[in-house]
Amino acid sequence: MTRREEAKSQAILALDRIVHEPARLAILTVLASAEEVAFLFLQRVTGMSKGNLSSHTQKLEAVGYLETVKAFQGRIPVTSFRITEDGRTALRLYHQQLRSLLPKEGKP
Amino acid sequence: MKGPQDLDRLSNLTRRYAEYGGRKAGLIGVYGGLLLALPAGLGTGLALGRVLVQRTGSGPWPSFWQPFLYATGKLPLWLMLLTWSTPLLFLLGSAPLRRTLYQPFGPVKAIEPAPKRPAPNGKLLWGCFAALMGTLLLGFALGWFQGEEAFFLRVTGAILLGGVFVAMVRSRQPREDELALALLLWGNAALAAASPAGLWALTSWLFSALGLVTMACGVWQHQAYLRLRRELEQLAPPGQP
Repeated sequence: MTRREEAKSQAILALDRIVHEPARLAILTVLASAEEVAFLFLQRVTGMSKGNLSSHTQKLEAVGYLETVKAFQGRIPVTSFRITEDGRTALRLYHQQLRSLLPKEGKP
Repeated sequence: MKGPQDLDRLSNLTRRYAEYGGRKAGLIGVYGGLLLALPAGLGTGLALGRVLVQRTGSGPWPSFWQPFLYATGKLPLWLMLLTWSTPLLFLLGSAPLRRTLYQPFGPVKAIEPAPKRPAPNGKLLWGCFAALMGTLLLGFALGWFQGEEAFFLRVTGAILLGGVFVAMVRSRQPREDELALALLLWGNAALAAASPAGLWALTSWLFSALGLVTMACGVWQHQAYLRLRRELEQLAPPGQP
């Protein structure tokens, strides 16, 4: 293994596993595009089931990447999510790491 | 989710959907524009009716113009009441309209304006506007302004209102379109308050024109919303990625 390949594999290992999972990446991408997002909308755009979405949001909340906001719209309870500053930083870092792993244009 | 394009699409859909949580008025703009144009349009009709009757003696359709000719120096009571009720009708109607028309998949709040567009600008605008309208209203109530002076002040007030409207839209306040519309409706009502009918009809064209522009913008925004809704409905139903 060349030194370059070794560095690449190190960079892959350094990727944030929490963000790297496709469903959680989709959740964080949606949350980063708005101030606060309702559970129902998140479910609609990601196409996940209620249980699946709950499980992923709980994992993201446990590491401090999002926070849950519970409110009432009239008499209807609405659960929403908000990305935290840590979550935003993790997503930004993940994008940077991925970009650095991709081959530059014109190079193999 | 299949690739980065899907992530971009998710982000784009979320941003567009969030705009209908307050920033874009859509059909609420059409409702507000209609309320804005209605009394102003009737006021213009009043002035035109008077001109026609004065020039032709009785006018082409005297029975049509008759309601506009109740008072020579003041607006008819029904027109005055209609103008004064428009801000209230708008405030009462806009919230249920937004609740029923937009964001059917739950509320999504748009990202707040960046810190480089600070709130003090908005507060300053509100302060200036309140001071201006307060002075004008007090002046009219106490009879400070008469004749040409009053007309000049009304025209200046109308132009300033237009300026405030543009500034509010540019400052990207949450619910800016609705706020600007409420402001214009209130301004229209305030200017109608102690104005002789003819003068008010002359200044009302500006409000009427703004109302029509708002209605056109509202229709355009609503069409964009319908496209967004179709896109969201075409996504796989929850639970079937």
